[in-house]
Amino acid sequence: MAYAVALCAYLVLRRRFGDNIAAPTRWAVVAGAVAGGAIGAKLLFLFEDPQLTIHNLHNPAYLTGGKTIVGALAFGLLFVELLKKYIGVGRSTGDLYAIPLCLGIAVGRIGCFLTGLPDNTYGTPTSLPWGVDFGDGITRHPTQLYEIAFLLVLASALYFVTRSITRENTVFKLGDAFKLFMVAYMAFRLLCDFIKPYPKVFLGLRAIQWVCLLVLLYYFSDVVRWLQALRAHRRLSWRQI
Amino acid sequence: MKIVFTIVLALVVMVAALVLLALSSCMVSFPTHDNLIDLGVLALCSLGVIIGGIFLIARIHREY
Repeated sequence: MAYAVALCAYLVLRRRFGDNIAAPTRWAVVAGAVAGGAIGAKLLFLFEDPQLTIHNLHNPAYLTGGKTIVGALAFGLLFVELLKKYIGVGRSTGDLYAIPLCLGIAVGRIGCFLTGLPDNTYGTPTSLPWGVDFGDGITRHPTQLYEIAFLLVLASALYFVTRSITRENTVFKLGDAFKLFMVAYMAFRLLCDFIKPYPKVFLGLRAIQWVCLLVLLYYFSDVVRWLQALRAHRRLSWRQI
Repeated sequence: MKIVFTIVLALVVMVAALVLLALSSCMVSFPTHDNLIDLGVLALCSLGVIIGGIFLIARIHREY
């Protein structure tokens, strides 16, 4: 369902905004993203609880059993960047994937919420009125619902960013919709994972949070550029008034 | 030819990735499955297909 929603969103956006990447390159990029995503989703899962992984090294069910979306995004990005560098593609290729990824992950999180405790995506116990009892008598933060709400707001914002990229004199340029998605989602996960009751691997952070930090560091120069462009844009707007 | 090769290889990579992801759902749903080793080998094979497919796509695009 999540894949279908993401694919439909991608096709609608491609028709609405057009695709300026040649077909062979687009297919190569998609294959790179899918390959990186599939491998990364598994790999980061194994580092989420290293002790449990070491205990289950002989257990194929555990080794191939889990997956994480942060690993998929980070390794998808890594594979695509390496592939583009190897085949000599310099331009940004990810803008059309930003909104489909938001919607696909949001639909996937509905499944996570309905699965409940076995999915291991729930939050820490809470006494807040919107806490959810997943069946063990303890009300917890419905972190899946927080994520769905965040992704829907982000998808709306990304639509305006994607639309503004096609115009001139804008804060955002080609490639920024995908970068903004990655920065926003990784920042959200970095914070949201503090209210998840799972093992911390180093300096009080989970493996997922460390990967989020690395991705945020990778895009740090872009965030600085956006802030500077926004400040300049605002100054220009004041002068015009 | 480049686009045909790329599309075919990309589809193979995507199917292998789907197999890999579907296997994880299978493992979670049936953790006491009798053929766990077979499923593990299948996961490794699909991983090999994914990596091989990406390597070939990269080579094709670099050569042309």
